[in-house]
Amino acid sequence: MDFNFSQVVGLIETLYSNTLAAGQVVQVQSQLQQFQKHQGSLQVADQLLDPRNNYSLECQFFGALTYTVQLNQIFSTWGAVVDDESDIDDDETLKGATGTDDTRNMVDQLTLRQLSHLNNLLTQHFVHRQPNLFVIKKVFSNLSLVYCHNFHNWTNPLLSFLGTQDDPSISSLRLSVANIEHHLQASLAGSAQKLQLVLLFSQIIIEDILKNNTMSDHLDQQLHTCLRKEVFVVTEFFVNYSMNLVIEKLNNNNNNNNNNNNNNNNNNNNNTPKLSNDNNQLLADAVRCYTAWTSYISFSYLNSTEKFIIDPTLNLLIKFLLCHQTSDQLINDSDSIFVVIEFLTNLLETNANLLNNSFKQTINDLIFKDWGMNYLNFLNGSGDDDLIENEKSVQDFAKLVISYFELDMVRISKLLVDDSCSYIFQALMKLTAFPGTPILDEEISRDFIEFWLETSDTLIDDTDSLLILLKTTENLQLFKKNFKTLLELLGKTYWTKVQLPLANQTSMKMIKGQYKDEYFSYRRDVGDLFDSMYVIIKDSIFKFLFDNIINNLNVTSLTLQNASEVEASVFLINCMCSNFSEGNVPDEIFGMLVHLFSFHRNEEINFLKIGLITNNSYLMNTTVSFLSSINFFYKSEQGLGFLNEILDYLFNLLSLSIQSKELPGKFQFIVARAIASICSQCRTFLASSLFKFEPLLFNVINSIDFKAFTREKVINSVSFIIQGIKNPQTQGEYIVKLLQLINDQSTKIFSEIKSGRVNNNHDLNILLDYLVSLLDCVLQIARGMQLPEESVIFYNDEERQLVDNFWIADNLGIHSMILQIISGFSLDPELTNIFITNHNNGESLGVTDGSVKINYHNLVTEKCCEIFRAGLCEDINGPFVFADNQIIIDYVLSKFEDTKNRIDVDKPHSSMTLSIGYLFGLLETFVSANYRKLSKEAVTNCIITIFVMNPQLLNSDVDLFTNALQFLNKVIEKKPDLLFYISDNSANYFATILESCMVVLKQSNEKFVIKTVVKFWCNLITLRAGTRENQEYITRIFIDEQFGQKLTNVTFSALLKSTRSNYEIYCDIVRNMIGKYPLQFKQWANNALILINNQRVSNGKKALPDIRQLISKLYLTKGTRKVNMVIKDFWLAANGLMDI
Amino acid sequence: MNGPGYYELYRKTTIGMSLIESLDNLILDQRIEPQLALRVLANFDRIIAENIKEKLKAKLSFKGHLHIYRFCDDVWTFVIKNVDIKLDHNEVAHADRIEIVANNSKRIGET
Repeated sequence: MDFNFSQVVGLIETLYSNTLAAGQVVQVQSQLQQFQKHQGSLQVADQLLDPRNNYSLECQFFGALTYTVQLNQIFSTWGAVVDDESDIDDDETLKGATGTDDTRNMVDQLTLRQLSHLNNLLTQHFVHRQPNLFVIKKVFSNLSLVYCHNFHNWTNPLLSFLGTQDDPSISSLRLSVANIEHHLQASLAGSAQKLQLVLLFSQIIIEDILKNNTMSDHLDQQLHTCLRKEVFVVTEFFVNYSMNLVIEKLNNNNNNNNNNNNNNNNNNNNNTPKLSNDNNQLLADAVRCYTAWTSYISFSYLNSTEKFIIDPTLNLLIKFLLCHQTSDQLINDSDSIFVVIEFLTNLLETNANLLNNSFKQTINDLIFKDWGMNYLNFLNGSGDDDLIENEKSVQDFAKLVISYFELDMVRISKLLVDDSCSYIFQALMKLTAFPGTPILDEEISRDFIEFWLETSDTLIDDTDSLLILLKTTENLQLFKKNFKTLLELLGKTYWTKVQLPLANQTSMKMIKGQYKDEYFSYRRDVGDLFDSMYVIIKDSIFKFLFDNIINNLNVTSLTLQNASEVEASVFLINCMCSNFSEGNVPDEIFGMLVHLFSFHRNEEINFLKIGLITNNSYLMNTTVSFLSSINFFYKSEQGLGFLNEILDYLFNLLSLSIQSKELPGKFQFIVARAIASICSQCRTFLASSLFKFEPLLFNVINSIDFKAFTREKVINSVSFIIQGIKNPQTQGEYIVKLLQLINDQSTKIFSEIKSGRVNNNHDLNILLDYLVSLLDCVLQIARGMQLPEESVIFYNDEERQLVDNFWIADNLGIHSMILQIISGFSLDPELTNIFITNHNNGESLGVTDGSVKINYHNLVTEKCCEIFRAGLCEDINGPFVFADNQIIIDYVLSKFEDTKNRIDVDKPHSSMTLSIGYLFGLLETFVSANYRKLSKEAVTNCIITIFVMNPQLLNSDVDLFTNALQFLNKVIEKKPDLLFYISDNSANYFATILESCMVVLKQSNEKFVIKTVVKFWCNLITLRAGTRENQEYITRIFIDEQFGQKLTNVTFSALLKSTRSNYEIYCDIVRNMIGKYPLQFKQWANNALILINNQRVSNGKKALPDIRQLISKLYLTKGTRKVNMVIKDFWLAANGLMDI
Repeated sequence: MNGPGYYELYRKTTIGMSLIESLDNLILDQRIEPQLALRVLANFDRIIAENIKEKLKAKLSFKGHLHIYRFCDDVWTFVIKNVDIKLDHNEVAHADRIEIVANNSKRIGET
């Protein structure tokens, strides 16, 4: 394709005009890309890059980009010859690695042309003030690309850049530090801008090299050497020169100021570039360049033997900081100080391996001696206001301090026993206690949380190491005392920090709004810190917090400040309570808790009332969380006396939250969950109080106004208490009452719905939600009645026998009541129709954004299955344990029949199939729990009904097939014998199932389906729990009926077509086949792969790699995990992909 | 700027695998060269590490029985049994056994 110059310019202008449609952009880009690869494109690029031609900056940039494309084309074959390390010193090989003579000459010419363009572009930039820096950067980047590949011939691009400005000839490309150092000073005369450009060029080179560190190893070694000997030397010179300039100017200014603004600046020699009054830019450029170099140096330490000396530059940075002593100096150069501090922090955080001990000590002196303290005092100014104003600078300084200490946390222990270093901790504490509300006003205290957390974790109880470090036991004792004091102070600081600014409405609005996540994350972090601190300072921190609550209760009227302090204290106590469980709570804690709950117990203001009095939802919330986390207290002798009172309080809160419109809906959820937690943990202590809950139970079941979650949690809570009653007759009577209430109420609602009087969809949905919630209450009773531990532990022998006999007899007819409720909800055809045609929109589940649309029929089926499931794993008879296995099988089959008849199999992925999935899930658990007692006939009947009689249904939805297969997998895992029942009507059913699974294995792409079907085949191959007859049966199928060959064909075919994340799943089949059928599998695999290969070749695809070699390798692995590696290599080679 | 190498372990995540499979498809369709895919993945390694470090605020704490621990090649491995996990917002979870493999958060080449 031929291009003329004006056509190219036109295309470029069009491309950057922002007026093209997306399709046109692609078209223009494609044309321009073709041009860039064209032979004559560089001539056009030269024209475009020449500023004298007055093309737009976009055209200039395109010219530079064309150079990039051409250079990449040249370098794509540049280093291909070097492949043997032993030849690296051989001249001929080196020539190959660096191109032929002709190519090298061409590259030299291209380099010179670009350097020449660069000179013109710089003139355009500095003289004509054109904003063309992005074009200059692109040319720098091109030169960097040349250098990366051509460093053997072109050793010092920085010197060439300077040299070509005076002498634009090939000799500029041969400049090296060996003979040019004395020219550097002269090159710099008069221009700080030139300095900045050299720094920028150096930065681009080193960043590009880091990006492209994929070159071959020995080239890299030589490049490292060249970089250190040439480019680094020049860079270091320029960086140091720049910093010396800045420092010199600072000193001059200082001297001038000291000499009453004496204007004679005699120290400037004629060659020194003129710096503007603002030092910031040059220093920032130097530091930015050096930052890139330190990253590279850190990298080169790992990848080469080159050693770089960076101390002189680092010391200049310190010297620069030390030049700033007075407020004026610190204010004038605040930006530069920030840049240097940030550099040092990054260095400590990410490249500390570059620092020697001497420099670390220098940083220590900088931070903690005169300069650091002076700087901190300057930031602190005359008080908190100044500190807040300088927050960013304080934060950066704090980060520097933290990164310095994090180099060696144990160092702190030494400082703690040295009185002369106490000012360091005062400084740290001052920074931690930075004024203002965290997150909203300041982030410094957040930065320090991790630091203090790490400090306390490092120094916890490591007496042996500390003793070695501190040398004497006296020092160790002193350390422990000082550390405890420090942490106590820290605790008080953070206690203040986590107080909610309740009295400040603006702050609270921000906390509830945009800063919500971050603010509460901060509080949780502080909670973790207290949790960690507690291990060291033990009870004193508790005492401080408990005392604070008591003090706040000891008032005549409560303010928001009282509420705020109490909330913070309760929150932190709650965080530390996670350390406690029964048996490890110190007596002091019990004493404090007793004091807390008994203080002003019968008066107007006490702990349980403070939230209600102040009507503060945060305080109520935190108090409820706290009450649900001290179950160890209720179970103790001291705490038992408060249990009823606390539960009363929580039920009061629950009632209040239902009536109140101010309290968030979530609050009801939190209170209900707290009640359930306490009832579950303290069930045996609450039996005598059960009668008190009866009115509430009646209310929650019969009132539609309760949120579904609350209703269910309350029923669940009471069920825990009922379960705790050891007398089964009393238990049964309570359960009957509950079930009767639920049954009566649901029957009433059923009638109302069936009558057709509810003709409004919204009202109907409310009633259906309520009905589902009532059914869920039965499930909550079932869950509440589950034994909390094994029956032999929970009951003594006599009790156990009594309970078992009671539920076998079931004189109260509870089993039949449960079945009646399930049948009423799930098997009534009229009601099922109503459930099917309506959807739950999520409101009852707490979702209000309309994202939820659940079929009521699925919800009901799910809950019924869960009710059956709740009793399946009990080891003793109970209200939800059905001794007759046939009850569950009958339910599943009836519901399956009913549901499948309502599914239109022509419309795949019907929402109704979810119900069938629940039924299969129930069957799976049922088999898992009862496989010993199940009859072959019953199981086979289920399998035939599901797999053989309804293949169309299963094939219509992979989820459904997967669920069914999981049930089958469970049978094979637990008792495969159940599967091989042969009767007249089931003769070939097993072969039908195998054929279906073969199809699924071949066609599925979804990971979960592949996993399930692969598991099925693996289970079948190994048949771990099978009898000898079962093994023989399967072996016959695999060998005589050719299923082994079929499976191998399908496995390899699916494996080769699968994606990278899936191929490994199929390896399990290969492994198991090698283990179980070693003789046959070799032939099966060979046949399968030849067949697949022939198909691929006939379809014009690449042939498979060596099949024999694959099979040999597979057999060498003997079916171990190494099979996966062999298959991986084969898969990559077959698909022409690389290992990533 | 690319610093020293970044861990490649996030390539095994769902998002990483999805990216790799998309790149595989592009290579198979001959729309990109494998070298470009490697470059994209190198960027992915960097970006995901930076984002996880800077943006991820979720935390959890857990308690359990430390069954096995080892430290080899700068990688800690902990096998913990009977673990109670506390997530943000007081959510809790339980696991019979968890394995934690912890790499040094500082990049290769750093101390």
